Amino acid sequence: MPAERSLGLSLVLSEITVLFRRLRTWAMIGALALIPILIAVVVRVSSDGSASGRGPAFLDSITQNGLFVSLTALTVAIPLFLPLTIGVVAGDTIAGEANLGTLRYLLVAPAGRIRLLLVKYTGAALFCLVATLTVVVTGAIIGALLFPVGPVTLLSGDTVGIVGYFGRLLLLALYVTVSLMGLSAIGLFISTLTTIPVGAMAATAALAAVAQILGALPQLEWLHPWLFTNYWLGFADFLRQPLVWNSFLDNALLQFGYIAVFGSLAYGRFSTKDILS
Amino acid sequence: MNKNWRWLPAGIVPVVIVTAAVSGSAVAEAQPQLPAKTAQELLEFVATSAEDAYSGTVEQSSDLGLPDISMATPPGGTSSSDPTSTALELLTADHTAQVYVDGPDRARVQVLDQLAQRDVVVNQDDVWFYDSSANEAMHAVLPDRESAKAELEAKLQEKAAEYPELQDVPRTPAELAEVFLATIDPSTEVTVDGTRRVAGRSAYELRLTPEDATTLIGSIAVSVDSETGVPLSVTVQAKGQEDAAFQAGFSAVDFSTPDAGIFEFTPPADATVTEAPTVDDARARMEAKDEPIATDEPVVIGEGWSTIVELPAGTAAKLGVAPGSGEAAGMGDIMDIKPGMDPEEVAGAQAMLDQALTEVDGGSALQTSLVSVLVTDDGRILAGAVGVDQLVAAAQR
Repeated sequence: MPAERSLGLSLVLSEITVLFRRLRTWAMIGALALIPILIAVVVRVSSDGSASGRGPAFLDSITQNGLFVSLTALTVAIPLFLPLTIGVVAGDTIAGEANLGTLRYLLVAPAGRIRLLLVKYTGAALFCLVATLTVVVTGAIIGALLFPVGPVTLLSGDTVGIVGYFGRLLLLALYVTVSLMGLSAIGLFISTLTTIPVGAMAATAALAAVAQILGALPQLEWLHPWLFTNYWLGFADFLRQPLVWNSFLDNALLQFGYIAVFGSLAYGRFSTKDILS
Repeated sequence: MNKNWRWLPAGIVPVVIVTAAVSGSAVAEAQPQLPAKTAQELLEFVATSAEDAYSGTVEQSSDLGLPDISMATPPGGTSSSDPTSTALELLTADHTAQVYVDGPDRARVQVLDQLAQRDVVVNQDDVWFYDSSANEAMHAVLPDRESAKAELEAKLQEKAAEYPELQDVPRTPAELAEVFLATIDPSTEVTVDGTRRVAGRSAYELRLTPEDATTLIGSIAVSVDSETGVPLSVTVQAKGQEDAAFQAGFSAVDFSTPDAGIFEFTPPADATVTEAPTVDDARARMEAKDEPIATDEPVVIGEGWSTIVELPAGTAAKLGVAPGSGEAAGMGDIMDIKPGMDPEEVAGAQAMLDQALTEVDGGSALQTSLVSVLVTDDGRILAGAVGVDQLVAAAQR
């Protein structure tokens, strides 16, 4: 049914337009862009040429090669800032519409609830990609402006040219995006539980923090492979020569599991719920 | 209208996931059917695998009944400069490594740390070590193999002339296996303990069980790939401990020849490169300094599995281990505070070490499930795969 499909596509398009027309979305993207800028400027201003071996990973390498700013910014953004922004976007998906009283109108079309969930989830997933790319691209640009740029030393001690490095950066952004998909699905489910978007946002962001705390406790080692945060810092596998795909595949499988579980939970809740607003 | 069926997917999906996870591990546990082999045949088989080329992922874990040592070494690159703590960390912490092997002359091991990596590359006579977190590279040149072999051959001939019973030096893998079995036989029981699946491949399990009541080692199991003879995993069991004390094995393995480029290593332009002294250099320096090496030689007490190594007095002080004196008896000051280390972190690590140490008669001891170490009050260090009481007895002898 081409008419129906075009309706789905146009829904996705309108959802994306609404999402990226909001001031809040751009404020969050701006805040994410500030992370690499802040790191690069601080390192540039305070650089005394000595490597201390402290601070976030890759920090010492920035003065030699500005392209490392992206990596330092990502390691800083992944535990807190990225989940926070994802929590805001994913938590707002359904609860936001319910709060504004617009959910009813979105659901007038027949069989609209599944499609609405899919559309909302697509929007949140796209935001994950945009947020990650913002950090990576801003980092590369500010690094190139403030520091010398050259062939990049990988973790294995091998060196790749700038083109190869950008290929790896794109893979890395993809890895981080996939890492955040599970959290987005959790956010979507929580968003169907309430009509107060702030509650859903806070709960989603808090869950990301809780998962990371549990992941840091060695006593809970049996639980770690099941935590959606388990492979978040595994993106460094794309900085090895030869490329290691293990964590990417494990991570994709894990995130897919989270999407399946929380997607079906969101469906169960959303399709049986009485929409009053 | 009853809408409850819409919750059905939410109930089914977790069940499917759990079933898949459980059945996946059940397939991995299933025992493969293989033609029976004796221990000797299996050892010969292992010896023929030296020329093989393969690559894979190795997982290592250990449970030594100790507090987490990875926390006792200062974080960051500072610890990598100290070979002892690096070795300790490599052995006791959990690791994942990528391994590439092409015959006896080419190998690369990549220890995959979080956001960091350590590489060891062996290419013919060149050996490189690279640590990404410190950006340090070390290069060593192996002694020329051909001349070393010739030298060994000459020495063997010389010995053979001296001791006629050594005429039949083992040459073939089969002979080597025989000699190995004969040497370890009196103190060890060597058995083939069925089959297993390791990294999706069928493997024989070779089990070495010490027949020695004093050693802490319960048994050592080596899984040998049934097609190539390459050892796929090693498991060390400690006596009186259910979980393996040490385990290292492939989680994935591929028996195709790795790309030759993997074994090429050029240190990055900005890395600190140190050149390790060659064997000849080291020997020449020793001779030039005329150092009394003999007195520093460790003493070996006992034999077989319960061998104890005793380092002479003064070693403890040299290693920065203060012998019992004053309030902070034992290894209170085991770690020197180096520049760049946070004094608080060092103090915390020391407190943890102190916790792991126990006061015993005549010194303080560290007991793990596999190895014990005793530092006597007069500065000797004794170590062995035996209980602390054995070390104390040996120290008082």
